[in-house]
Amino acid sequence: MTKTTDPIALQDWYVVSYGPELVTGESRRTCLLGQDIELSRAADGQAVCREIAGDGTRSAPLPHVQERYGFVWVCLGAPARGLIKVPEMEQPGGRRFLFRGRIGVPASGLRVIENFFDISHFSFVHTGTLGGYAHAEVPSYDVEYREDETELWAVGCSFVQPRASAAVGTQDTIVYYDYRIPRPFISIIYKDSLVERGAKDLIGLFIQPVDEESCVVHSFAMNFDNTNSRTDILHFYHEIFAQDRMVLIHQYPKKLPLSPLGEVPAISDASSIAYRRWIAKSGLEFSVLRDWTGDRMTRLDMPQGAPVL
Amino acid sequence: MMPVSDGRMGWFALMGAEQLRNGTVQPVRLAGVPLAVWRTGDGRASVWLDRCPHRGMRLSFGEVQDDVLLCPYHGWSFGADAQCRAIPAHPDKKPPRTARAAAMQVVETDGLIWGGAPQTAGFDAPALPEGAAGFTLLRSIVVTGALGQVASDLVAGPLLPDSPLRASGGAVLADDHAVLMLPVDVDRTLLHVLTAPDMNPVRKDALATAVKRLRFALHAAA
Repeated sequence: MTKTTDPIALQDWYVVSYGPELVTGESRRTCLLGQDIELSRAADGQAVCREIAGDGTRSAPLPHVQERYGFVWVCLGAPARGLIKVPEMEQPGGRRFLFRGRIGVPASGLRVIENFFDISHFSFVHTGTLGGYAHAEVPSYDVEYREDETELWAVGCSFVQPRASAAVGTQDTIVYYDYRIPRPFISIIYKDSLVERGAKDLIGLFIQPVDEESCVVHSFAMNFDNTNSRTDILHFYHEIFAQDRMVLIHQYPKKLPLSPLGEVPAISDASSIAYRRWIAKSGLEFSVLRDWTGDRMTRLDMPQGAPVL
Repeated sequence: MMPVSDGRMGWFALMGAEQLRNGTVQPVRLAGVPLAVWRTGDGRASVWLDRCPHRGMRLSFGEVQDDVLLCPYHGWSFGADAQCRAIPAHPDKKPPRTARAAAMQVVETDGLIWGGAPQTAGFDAPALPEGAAGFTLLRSIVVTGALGQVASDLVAGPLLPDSPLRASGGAVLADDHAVLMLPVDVDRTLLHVLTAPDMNPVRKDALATAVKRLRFALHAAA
């Protein structure tokens, strides 16, 4: 695998590890944007990242490595901006932090993020928990840009949910969501807590793009559920994710098409339409199909060397 | 009458008609292209690219309800005309015309479902040779091996020892049976074994047995 040459992708920060998983004296090998890297923790506790060349030699420690919010972040190029801010991580306000695991997915990280902030699949992919057939309609919501136009938000989203979280039993409830998409490979949900009324739980994905068609998803939650065990809460989230995974691995094309001529949006896809436009405008080339306008059955291309009998 | 491939249209025998029950959808792979083949509740067959035009999910993972195929991702429903009929996220709004599956033409004949598409120049889609007119499907199997290699192997080692197979169009042909071949991938081939209506029942049994053994023989040779 070779490192991407896309400057827009290279100038961003990406999570490569949950902090506590990096232990002094051990090293771990992974891959970011096509570049093999080695992670370790120095004797002084600092996280260290080195690039691994084709012949196996390690580079000097990379300059742009930091640890924040319980995760290790790396920028392979020159960072265009600082890390995103998540105030609730600094002031939990009664929420419990939960590391939801590190999961490899053979899908583009952009597809994973787009699925994460999509509501209209709840009734069909998460039937019985996040949605149901009887209430599949998606009420309208607003799309906004915040932080000087650098962050995309979908606010005031709502949906009827039979079982919105591990904390509640099954009973159709209207739940409100705000979706924050501060970077193409990061998204955080701010979702009505059904435990602490008036406050929001956080559920987030920090995606490590391995290459253009696969990624590692580092995820977390911060919620007010202090009753259920971590195991029960994780089971709820993992069931949801397993259902999404079954879709993600079967989407074609694997990279994200940006043109609405290639993939037809519905009116309720306002956030996805904005996400694809926002990415197009950013100049990102990595994991993106700019001009793909779809497949038609206009030609059937046989494999090379197919014989004429 | 089996459809005939000409310079413009290619016809491909995708599966046995009886393998596709009413109200079901199945994935079929043709030359590496994933297709979804489905029947409405009352039996009308459609052959589409296995891809929802919305967000690219495989339609073959969906479900047929009466006369529509539902995509499992967002529940978009498509009629046999390939047009999206309803979008559950906004049930009162008409879906755009562009919300349409990519469809092949379909013909069902002689126990087979054929998909037709304008074909790329330089490849002869397998047409059934004249000598197999009136033959019907005995059995279909997928074997390991590129199409050309499988065809050569069958000519070199016929299914019934006293019935040499000769290459003809997209098939190999004997007097009372034929094998129609289609590429699944570069290293896998779909075989439809067809028999004459008056084929001797003992020979037919022997042929069915030979076909079963064929899969293992080709595996062993690879």
